[in-house]
Amino acid sequence: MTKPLKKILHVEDEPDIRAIAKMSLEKIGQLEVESCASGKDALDRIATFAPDMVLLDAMMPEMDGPEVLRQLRARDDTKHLPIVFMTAKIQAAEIEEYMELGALKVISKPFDPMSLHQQLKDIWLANQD
Amino acid sequence: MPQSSPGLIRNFTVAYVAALVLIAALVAGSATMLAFSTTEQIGDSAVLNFSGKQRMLSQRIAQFAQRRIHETSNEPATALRELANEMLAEHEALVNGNADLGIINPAPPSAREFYFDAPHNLDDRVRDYVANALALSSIEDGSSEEAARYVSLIQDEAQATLIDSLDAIATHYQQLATERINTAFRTEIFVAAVLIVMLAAVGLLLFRPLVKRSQSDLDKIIDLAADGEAKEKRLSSILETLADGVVTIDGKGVILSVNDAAAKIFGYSEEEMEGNNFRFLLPKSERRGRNSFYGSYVRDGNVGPIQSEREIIGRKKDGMEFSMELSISSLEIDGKPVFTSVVRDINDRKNAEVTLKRQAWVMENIADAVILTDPQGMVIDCNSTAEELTGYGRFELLGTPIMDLMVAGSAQKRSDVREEATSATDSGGVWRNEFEIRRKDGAIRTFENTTTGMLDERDRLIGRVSVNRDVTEQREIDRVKNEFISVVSHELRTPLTSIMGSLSLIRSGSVGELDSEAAGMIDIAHSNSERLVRLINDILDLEKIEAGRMDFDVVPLDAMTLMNQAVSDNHGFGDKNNIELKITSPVNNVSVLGDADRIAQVYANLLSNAIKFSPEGASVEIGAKRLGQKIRVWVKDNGPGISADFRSSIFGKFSQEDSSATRQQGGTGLGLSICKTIIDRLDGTIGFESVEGEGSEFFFDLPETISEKSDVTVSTVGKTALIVEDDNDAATLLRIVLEQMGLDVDVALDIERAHALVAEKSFDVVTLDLGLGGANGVDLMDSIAQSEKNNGVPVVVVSGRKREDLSSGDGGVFDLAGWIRKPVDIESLETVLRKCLSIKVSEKPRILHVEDDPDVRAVVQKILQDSVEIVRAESLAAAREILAGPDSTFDLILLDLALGDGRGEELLADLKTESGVNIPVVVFSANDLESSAAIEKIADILQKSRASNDDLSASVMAAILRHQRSQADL
Repeated sequence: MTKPLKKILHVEDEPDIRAIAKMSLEKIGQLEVESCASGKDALDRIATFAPDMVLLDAMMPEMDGPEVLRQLRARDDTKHLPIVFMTAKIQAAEIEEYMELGALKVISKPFDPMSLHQQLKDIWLANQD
Repeated sequence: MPQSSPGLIRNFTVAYVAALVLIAALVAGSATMLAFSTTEQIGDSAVLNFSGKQRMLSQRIAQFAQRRIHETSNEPATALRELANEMLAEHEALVNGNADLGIINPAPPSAREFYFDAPHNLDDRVRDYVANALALSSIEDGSSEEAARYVSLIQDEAQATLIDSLDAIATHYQQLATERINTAFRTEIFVAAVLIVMLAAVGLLLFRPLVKRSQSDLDKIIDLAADGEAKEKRLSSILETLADGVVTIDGKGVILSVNDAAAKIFGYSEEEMEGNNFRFLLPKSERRGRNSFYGSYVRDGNVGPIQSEREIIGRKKDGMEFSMELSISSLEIDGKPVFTSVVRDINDRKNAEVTLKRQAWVMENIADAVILTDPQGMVIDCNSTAEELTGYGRFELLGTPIMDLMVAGSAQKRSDVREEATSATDSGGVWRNEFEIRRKDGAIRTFENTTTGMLDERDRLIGRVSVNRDVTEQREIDRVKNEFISVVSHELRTPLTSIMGSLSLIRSGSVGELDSEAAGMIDIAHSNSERLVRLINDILDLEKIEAGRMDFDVVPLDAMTLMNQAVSDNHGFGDKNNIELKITSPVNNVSVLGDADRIAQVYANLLSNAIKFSPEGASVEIGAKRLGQKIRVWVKDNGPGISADFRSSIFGKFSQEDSSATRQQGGTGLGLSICKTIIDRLDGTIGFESVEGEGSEFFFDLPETISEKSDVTVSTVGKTALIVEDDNDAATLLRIVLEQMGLDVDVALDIERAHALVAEKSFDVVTLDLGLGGANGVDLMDSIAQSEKNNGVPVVVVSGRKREDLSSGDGGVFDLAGWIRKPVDIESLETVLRKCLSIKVSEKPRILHVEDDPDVRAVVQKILQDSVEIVRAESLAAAREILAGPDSTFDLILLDLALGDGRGEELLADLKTESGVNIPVVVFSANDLESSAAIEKIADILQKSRASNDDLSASVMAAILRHQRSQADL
């Protein structure tokens, strides 16, 4: 049987959305969540936290989501880490860009806090095959 | 001049002297001739005068002779004597010549012939006449018989022949005079021509080196002079063949003569024109002052051209007014002015001039650059906008292949554009495109170009018209607008994410329980933030529509489910406006092909419009009906209706009847535009009917799904389903849902198990999670398609992925029965499953194919096997056996006519009695029907070898559908 999804690293510059996602995933999804306010913050803390999956915003100041993804892919310890985008930038061309960079899935904002954990678990399971 | 001076002077002198001598001789000669003919003319005129006088005298003698026998007085006798003596004296003078009377002595020989030779012998007659008159005057008794005899001699014979002879003389001399005048005239012309020739010859001699070339001109002049006479003769025939009308009128404006052309121009006959005042050829507005115009001419007595050329309006017999060009010249005949008017109908020319002016005006005043090129692409003309938009001057453009040169980009790009444009327009086609051009100043502009090939009447290319609009700003605006929409929607989504997320968590109770009042408020906030998201999505949809990127998931949908869903989605908005949404005309068991989300979007737009424009307390009616192959759905309100002005633009983008009303109603002006695009994409049509002040009815028609039977009525109890789902929880959820529907469910948690189950057991429906690995899922679909037990079983994908994410790399497009996105919406899952179960394999239409040719049987099997279940009969007997057997329910019989053991028609008679129902029959045969009596039982007739595979398939399916419908109606 596959390993269940446990630890999520959420990278998001909006504090409100960080709070809601954390509450949603922890309270409803029973997951462990580490929230990062910037791409740099995420890259610094990812080794310590060692998440099962990264939930990544696309549009962030300084270092945007695609750049964070590129850097994670470039590091040995995070090369194969499952990464899911959660963003409001969901035009077809944008989604295509994320997928080409190696994202597993794109979740659009506004997201449903009630089913977010389930969506992540589905993606996790699908990726285990 | 190469010649030496002395030589030139010698030449000049010789020529000059020779010319002068010749001229002098000619002038002297012609003067002598003129003097001679003038003398002759005077003599002849005298003869004429005298013959006229003799005529008068003879008539008076006849009068007095008459009076002599009726009157008793001496007066007639005296008068007779005097007249007779005068006549005789005149006669003597005429015959013998009398210088005093101006008669040349003797009279010309021709005149003498007249006088003394037969048949006239005027001398004898005059003398007889005079003698008779004298005798009558000397008789004493005027009433005597003798007097009467003289009177009758004078009156009946002598007078009559005498007058004839005198008339003959007059005619003769007139003729002589005319001939003489003509001779003189010709002589004058000849003299004048020779003079001209002489002068020209002198000039030529002097300036020969300069005018050598003119030698031939000189020949022509000589020819012309010689032609003078012939010309005169031709004049009248020329007049009649002239294209211009010639009208001569006298000083009072009365038409004297017209030629053919003039009659034709005015539409009258020559007789109708001649003798009338010319003013009837002019419209009333032109008549004023015309007479006085000629009148003043008459008074002033100016002879010569009055008005060289002028344009006036004429009027034809049929009343039509037209422009004519008139040139008038005048001459004097017998002291009276005669005007010759040359009339030319220039109406066509004027009209053409006006049209040309208009076209030129349009060409110069449109905002598009118009460039005309020859077939090789060289510019032959352009308008001033072309100069403005390209930056090149007109003369820089002419003669260059300018569009080729200006297309921005590589040489390859230029030649591609040229190639495309020329090949598309070579045979007169129209080519539309948009490309960038480089102006003369180097600026890059975007041109929207329409190029049209121009053909002559024999369809040969004579050039191209290229109409170019500078759309640079427009495209920039489009780009900025799309970018703006994208940014704005992102900026709106971010705060909405927080709002909706918070509200969802509060509603779920995760952050503590709320009392019911607070929960109600939170619900309102939540549903409105959802609305806001929908609005943003609409705007994004529009952007997608514009870019042609909208995704559609077209599946069979139950019409009533959609309608009920629409009412429940929108009744909240209706309640708020105190408007009731009523389904007044439901249709049951009808399914349409469409995308549920998009149709909901159309409903939402139509219903919200209807609600917005309804008076408070009114209701909005919703209904549906079958309309041919389509299902029409309508939404009807009692609002103000749609104004006539707005009707044509109502489905346009950002279309608002009244901006203030729109603001008040909160619309974006996008709704109906989105609706139209959606319905168009679904192969449907959208429209409306509206009466101002009474209301509007918007409707859309969508294609009806071929499958007739509705999911709603299909019992799902006892049917079997296979769930292929690797997530245990998800599988459990699906199992619960399917079991609640009464299905017998098997679950495969991995792909191997799924393969095994598909091989060993027959299912009515399969749900498949593609998330368990694209390739594996596709493999399974393959093996389902190939399995004996489950071939054709409907497969519903239940996946976290969107359907459009299934790229071709995942194994191409499969004919899926449905696509359900995770998280699973139970209601739509149930809808799709019911739909699938209603069209599963065993409910394919069943047809009986009666055909003796095994090849035809095989071909038909191949054509129809995907859509129908086929039972085959190779003879009439076999068909009868099948129809009499236990499994004789067919949706259709496909019938050959010439069978080994009889005619196909024979089966038709059996059908009703044996099966009890009218099974539709499609004849598929190389033969014609032998009996027309059977024809009413036949749904369609197809000729072998003529009917295509598609014809056969279409005919069979249509007949089955008709049959099923009539069954459903029973």
